[in-house]
Amino acid sequence: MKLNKIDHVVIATNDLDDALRLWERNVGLAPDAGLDRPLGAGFKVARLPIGDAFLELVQPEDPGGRFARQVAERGEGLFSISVQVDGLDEAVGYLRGKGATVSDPEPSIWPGARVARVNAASAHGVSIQLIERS
Amino acid sequence: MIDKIHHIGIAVHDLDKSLEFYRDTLGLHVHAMDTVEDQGVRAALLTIGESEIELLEPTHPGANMAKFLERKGEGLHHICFQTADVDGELETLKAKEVELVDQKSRLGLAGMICFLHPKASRGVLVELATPLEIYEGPRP
Repeated sequence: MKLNKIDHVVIATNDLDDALRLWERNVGLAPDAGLDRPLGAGFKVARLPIGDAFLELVQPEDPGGRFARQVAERGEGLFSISVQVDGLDEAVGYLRGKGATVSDPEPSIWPGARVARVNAASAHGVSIQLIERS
Repeated sequence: MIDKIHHIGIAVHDLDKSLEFYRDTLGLHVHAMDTVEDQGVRAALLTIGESEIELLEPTHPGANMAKFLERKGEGLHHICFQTADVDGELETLKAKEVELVDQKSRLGLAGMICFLHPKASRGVLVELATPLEIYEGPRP
């Protein structure tokens, strides 16, 4: 298994508009204007390109949803990292063989990608998403 | 102006144990290991694409990293962006009255660095770094 690069970093926020204002003013990162809201995701999202990666700012909209509960529990801030792999199915099999807890591969909310999640307990507290882009 | 994600910092209780996952299982190459006494951390830097994963273990129980671990447990700690001119960025940030941890750049693992206060980005601890290879300001 080879991890090619950091694809994106997910940042949780309770106020997407304010977060976008601060990231642009204080860090100089602006959102990708052409981005549509992913379908049926239950959250608001903006993507801020940086180098060959991007930050994904995410605000939960469904208060009872899993994501909203996690944000309530952990607070705003860095939430997870997404790393790019070739051969997602093999990577998942390999990591499970090493004893990691990994979800089954599924389509990403973004077109043209499949993802699987490594449980934070397997990765020293970090939620790691593996992403395969076609 | 920032150019890329330089690294992502991860707080861990036991650096060697965390390397078993990040180095041995994920297969990431460790290109440096170092202890920064004044920051109270022992660190390993692992290459991933054009960026790095920085694993950070506190060197003693009173270290800031130890307090972070007590409060939040292991996990994502900060994100560092590379800029060609950390001092220039700091001046701009001060002029805008952005909340900062460091008023002056200092030597860190990534080069000359400074931290913004998490308030400046709604809860994310942001570091800016200019690697020493491209740093043109006064050397520490």
